[in-house]
Amino acid sequence: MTKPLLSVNNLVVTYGARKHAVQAVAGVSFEIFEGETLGLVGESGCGKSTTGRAILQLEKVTSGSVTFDGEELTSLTPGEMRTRRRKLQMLFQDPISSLNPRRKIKHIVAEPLIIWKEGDDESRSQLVDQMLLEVGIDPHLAGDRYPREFSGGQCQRISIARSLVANPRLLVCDEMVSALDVSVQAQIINLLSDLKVKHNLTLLFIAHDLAVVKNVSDRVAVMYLGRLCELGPSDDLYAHPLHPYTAALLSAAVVPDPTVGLSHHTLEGEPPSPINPPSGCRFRTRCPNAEARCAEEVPELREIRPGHQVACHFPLEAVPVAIQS
Amino acid sequence: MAIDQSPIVVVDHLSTTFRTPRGPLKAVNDVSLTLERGSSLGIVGESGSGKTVLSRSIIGLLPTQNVTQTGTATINGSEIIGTRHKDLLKIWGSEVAMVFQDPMTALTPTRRVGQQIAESLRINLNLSRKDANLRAIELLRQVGIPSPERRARAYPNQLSGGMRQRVMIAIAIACGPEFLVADEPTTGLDVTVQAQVLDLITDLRAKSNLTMILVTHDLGVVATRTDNVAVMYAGRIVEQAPTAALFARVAMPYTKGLLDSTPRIDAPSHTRLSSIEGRPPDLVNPPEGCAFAPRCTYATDECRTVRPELVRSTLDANHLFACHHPLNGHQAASSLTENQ
Repeated sequence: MTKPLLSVNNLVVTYGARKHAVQAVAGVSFEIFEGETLGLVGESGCGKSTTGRAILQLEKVTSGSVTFDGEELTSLTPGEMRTRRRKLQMLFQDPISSLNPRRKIKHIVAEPLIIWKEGDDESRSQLVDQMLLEVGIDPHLAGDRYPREFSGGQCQRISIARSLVANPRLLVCDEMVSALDVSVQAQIINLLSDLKVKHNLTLLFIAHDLAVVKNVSDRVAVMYLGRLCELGPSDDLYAHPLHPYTAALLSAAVVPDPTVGLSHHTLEGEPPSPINPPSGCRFRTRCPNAEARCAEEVPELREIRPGHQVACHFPLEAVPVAIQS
Repeated sequence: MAIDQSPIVVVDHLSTTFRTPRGPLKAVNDVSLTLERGSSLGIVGESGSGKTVLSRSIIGLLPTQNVTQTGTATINGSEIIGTRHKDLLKIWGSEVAMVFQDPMTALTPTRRVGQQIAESLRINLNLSRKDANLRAIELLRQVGIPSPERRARAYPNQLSGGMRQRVMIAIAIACGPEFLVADEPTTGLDVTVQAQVLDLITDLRAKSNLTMILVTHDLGVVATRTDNVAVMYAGRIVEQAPTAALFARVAMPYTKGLLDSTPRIDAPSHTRLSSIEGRPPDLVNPPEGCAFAPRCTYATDECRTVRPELVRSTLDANHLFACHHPLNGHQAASSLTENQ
C-alpha cells in the first residue's frame, strides 16, 4: 500500500441537462492504494454506484479526473479506454442478469480472452477451467451449462471468474453480495478475500450494508447525496465516527444480538432530492448538530485523525459512541 | 373488552404443498405454533425456506389452485384452512392484516393512496366516503407522514419507498386488526428508513396490543424487534425459542451457521466469516432424515436417515429444536407430539 493505484479528484457526474440537471456525484475525491479494499457506503441515491461506474468511464464524467496507474482516464477516447478496461473490471448486483443467458458458462468466462485475442483455444480453455476451479465451480460439470441452471451465488462465482480471467488490477464491486442469502453471502465474501490476496487485486467495494462493508474493507468512505462525508480506516471509522451522518447510519444498523439493544438516535426524514440539494452542507437538513454556518459554507474533507478525514464543520470528536460501550 | 387469555393464533400440523410440473413441492411441512395475544414472532430463514408461504397459509392468503393444505390454522378460533375466499374477506382487514415486502407492487398504481386506505374503511367499517377520507388522513398522520392532507392525494409513484411502506402500514391498521403479518417489511429500504419503519410498527403494536408475525431474513431485525423466533429450514421449523434465549444459547447447527455467516458491525474488519457450504435441498425430492444434514458438520448416519422431531430442551421448556446433536448442552426433553 504505497502508491495510489487509482485517484479520483473532484469527480462530478451530472445527469440530464440545464434545468433538469441532477448532480449525482458532486465533487468526490479519494485514492485507492495498491492491494487495498476501499468500501463505499451510503443509502440509495447517494451516488455510490454512479461513482463506481464513472471510474470505469461507463458514465460520462462531467468534470474532475480519474487517474488509474498514473494515466488520466477521462481524456481517453472510447477506443483507448477499451484497451484499459481489462485492467478495471466490474461486478454487479444481479449476477444472473449480468451473464448472457444464451451462452455456455465456459464461453462466458472465455469471452474476455477471445476479445483480447489471448492464447489459442487450448490455452484459453485451460485458463478458463483453472479460473472456474478457483471460484469453486467444477468446470467439467458446469462448463457446458447455461446461467439459468445455476443459483445466484453460483452465478456470482462465475461472474468473478469472468472478471478475473483478464487478469485485472482493480475490481469495482457494485452491491455484489446484496441479493444473496447470508450463508451464500459469506461464501462469496470469503472467496473474494482469498482471490484478492492470490491475484493481488485492488477493490472498490460499493454496498449499502454497513456490516458487509466493514468486513471486507481496509478503509471506508461514507457518501451522502453525491458527496463524501467521511473517509477513514474501517475499524476507526466504525468505532469513532466523526460525521453525524456516519454516526446515524451506525446507530440504525442492527446487530444480531438482543442484548445489544436498539439505539435511539435514528434519523428523522429522508434524504432530500439531489435535484435541489441543500446549500452548504448537504446533510444539514437532517443533522441534529446543524448551525447557521452549515447552511452557508460547504464543508471540505479534512484530516482530523491520521488517515481519517471528515467533511463537517462540527465533527463528533469528543462524543462517545454507543457502539463502543 | 374483557382480557382474553387464549392464544390468538393456533397452527397445528400445517402443511402446504404446491403442485409443480416436477411433482409435489412441500413448501411448509408439518408446522405447529401458537401466538399469545400481543406477542410478536419472528420467522427467519433463507430464500425458499417456506417462511413466506407459512405466514400466508396462516391467514389464508394463498391461491386455491394447485395448492393442497393439511392441518389447521385458527385465528381467534375461526378456522382458516379450507375456508372459502368469501368468508375470509370478513377476517382480512378487520382481524388480520398484512404488510408486504414491496409496497410499489402491493399498492394500486393508478389510485391515490388516500383512496386506497379509505377503500377498506368503507367496506369493513361501512364509513361514508367523507368519513373514510377523513379517517384516511388521520391514519396517514398516525404513521408519521408529513402533511397528510396533501399526501393522501398522491399516487404511489410520487412517494418514496419508506413513505409507501408507511402507507401500507396505514392500510393494514385501518380497520383495527388484532393480528398483523409483516413479510419483509423493510427489505429494500435504507437502514435509516428501516429503523424508522420498524420503530413505527413497534409503537403501533404497543398502542393497540397487536400480535405480529414478522417474516425476515435479517437476524438483526429479529433480535431487536421480536419476543419469539422461529427458524425455518426446508419448510420446517427447526428451532423456536424466546428471542433472548435463542440468541444466548443456540441449539440447532443451522441457526448457528446463519449467525456465524452474518457480518456484524461490532466485529473487527476482515473477521473471517464461517459460511454454510452447499445449498438448501430441493423440496421436490427432500432428503431422508434431517434436511440440513448434507450441509451440517455435525451430521451422523442417524441424521441422514431419521428425521429429527421438534422437541423441547431440558434446559428451557420454551426452547424447541429439531436436531439429533444439539449444541450448547441442549438435550431433548420430550417430543412435542407426545405431549399433545
